Amino acid sequence: MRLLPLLPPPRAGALFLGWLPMLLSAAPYRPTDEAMVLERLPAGAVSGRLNAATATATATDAATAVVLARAWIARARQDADPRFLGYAEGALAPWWDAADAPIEIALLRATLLQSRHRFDDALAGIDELLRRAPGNAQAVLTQATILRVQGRFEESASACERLASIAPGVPAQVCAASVSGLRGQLGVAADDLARILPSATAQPAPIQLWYFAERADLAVRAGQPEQALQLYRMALQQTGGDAGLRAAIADILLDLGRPDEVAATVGEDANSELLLLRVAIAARDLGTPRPELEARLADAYAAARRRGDSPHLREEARFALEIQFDSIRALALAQENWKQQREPADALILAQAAVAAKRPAAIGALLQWLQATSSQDARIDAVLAQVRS
Amino acid sequence: MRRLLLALVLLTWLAPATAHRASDAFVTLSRDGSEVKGSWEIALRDLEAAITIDRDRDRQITWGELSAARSQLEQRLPPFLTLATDGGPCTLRIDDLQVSQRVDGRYAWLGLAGDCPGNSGPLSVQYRFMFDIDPTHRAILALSDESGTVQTAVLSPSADRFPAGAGASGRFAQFASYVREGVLHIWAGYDHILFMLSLLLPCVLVRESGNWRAVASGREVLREVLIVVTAFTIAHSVTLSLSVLDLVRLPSRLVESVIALTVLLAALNNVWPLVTRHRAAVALGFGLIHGFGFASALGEVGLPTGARLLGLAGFNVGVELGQLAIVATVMPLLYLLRSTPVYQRVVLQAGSLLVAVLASVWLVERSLTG
Repeated sequence: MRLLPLLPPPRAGALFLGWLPMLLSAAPYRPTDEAMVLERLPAGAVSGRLNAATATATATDAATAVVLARAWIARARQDADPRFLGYAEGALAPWWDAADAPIEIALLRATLLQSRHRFDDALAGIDELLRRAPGNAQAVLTQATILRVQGRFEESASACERLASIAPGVPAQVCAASVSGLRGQLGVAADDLARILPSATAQPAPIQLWYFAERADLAVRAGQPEQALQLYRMALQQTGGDAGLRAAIADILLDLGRPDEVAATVGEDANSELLLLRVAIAARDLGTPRPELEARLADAYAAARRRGDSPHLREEARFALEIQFDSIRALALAQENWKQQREPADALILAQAAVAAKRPAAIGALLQWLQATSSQDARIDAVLAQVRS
Repeated sequence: MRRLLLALVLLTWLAPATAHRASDAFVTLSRDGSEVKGSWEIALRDLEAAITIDRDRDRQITWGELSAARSQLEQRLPPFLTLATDGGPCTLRIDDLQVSQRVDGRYAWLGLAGDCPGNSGPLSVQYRFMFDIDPTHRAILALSDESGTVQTAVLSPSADRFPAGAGASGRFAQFASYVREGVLHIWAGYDHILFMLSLLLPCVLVRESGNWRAVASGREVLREVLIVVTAFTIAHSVTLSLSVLDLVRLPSRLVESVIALTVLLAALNNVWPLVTRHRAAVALGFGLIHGFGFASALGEVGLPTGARLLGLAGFNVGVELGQLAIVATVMPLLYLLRSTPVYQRVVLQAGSLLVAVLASVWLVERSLTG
């Protein structure tokens, strides 16, 4: 288990001067080489929507809009790229504020709200949707997921039960196990999931990805990072993985003290903050910090804050702790984040920040929650052991 | 089933993998007299979404391709970013093209130059680029004036203008403008003031066996005033919120008439006392109807979409502040005068009678013509 540095290395602060102006205007330059590649576009990126000749007008019928939005959401998941979520929202624009939007659109709308961490709005939309279509399995699964992320485990568990009664199968089983794993049933949940391996591997790739990711997460919390790595790599092999998966692998590598393997896992052309933060932390661990990359990350978090986006809070807390060595700020961010979401990773960063900032009250409050939910997490145990010793 | 399951997966893996950068553009403008200079940074991916830069479709944007698109950018982008002063719209042209690097990739850095008519008034900005393609796109605007003061704002589809309530400072300004509306409303609406006064006039007195007597201690007066004002505040805040949030709707003619009636009853009660003990209950009950009155006043001002609660809270705070200012001015005076015969006869009795007459006129006017 890698312990976090509690004190900043000398001169760490000097690297961060000059961050502020970057937010407003990054220094421009004029390339000299015509052939210089400035940007690689992802497959299927939108092009030339303002060109009259190629204008793909906004879909006016709901069925086309649903197909488009779905495709964009799938792309967003693949690349962890919220631009595609924006395009999805654009495709749904004519129905975005309509209370009587078709069920499929209401569902996608809730999904997009969830992805922007507007959990309460998403849940309200799902409640409304379920009043109209009580048997909508997708809606129930989204509901279970959001409730789980919010730390409302009991409600999440009943949503999973409801899912099982509507649509029994692997998704319902993964749903149930992922919640019970957070309610003191870590081992049982892991066994349950291991048992359904044959039927899980017969599922479409994205469900397999989810299945392996849940199992790996359980293994990490059980203190078996090597096993988790194996599971993640299986998922990568079976499905090609996505940015979230690669970030999870990078986290384990960092924890295991193998920062040299992070860059290869993440891939060189990663444009995702999620992945770049791991690259930056790995570079620090290797003793070769990358101030330019760190400055770009700080710039991105500042821009997100300016927009009023919250999904970055957990990541920013980690950045504050592991790159800026500012434990007070990290704690404030982790606490702000904790108000919105309570996944194991949220608890972990809160514990790390509270310990680093030496705030017994914050540690106590977290401990109380962990005990009340019978949460088990080897990483958090290790962090809190620092305090006890 | 298979179709269902494929769709299911959309929803599950999003939660952990969301930390990434959404689409932002950066607009920096500085003003010097009639001249405006600045830059507009657009992510090349966003630019490509709007205008095809990647001519050879190899999914790579080269510097050559971007330079070749320059005249297109110069023509097609400026309409999406419009500037104006009180004197009218400014001209704006793209006079430079460079490249900048940010965490989510490279951006086209467009130099801006413009001219504004005259020197008058603050610069206003409207931004509409990308919003039809990506409603989550935002422009992060930094605007500096001659003195070097920098104002910043985030422009979005629902708040695409600055200044007009976008960004942190915009929100505060918006809140403040509703506070001002609230204060103005209570000061300009004589019916609310007279109702308050009718309740407050007897607060410095007690009724004993058919006669008024001055309250001895200031503390007791203060207590009574606090209770009455708090009750009125709670009541009208509740109905104001219910009404603004569209949970309860009453016809405004009815509301305005009943408000006049509450003023009439409160005033008459001072002349021929019926209720002398539970003034707070009166304030509470009648305050409910005044809240609906505030709501229709707020309805005239209008609430900003996306910031209804902010506007509501600001207006309510304004109403309370305006009300407190009146109480703080009037009460010390009433307290000093309370034991004089002039107060008990003229101020309380004749004054209340006058209010009652006025309220009757309102009542007739409003119920007949409303």
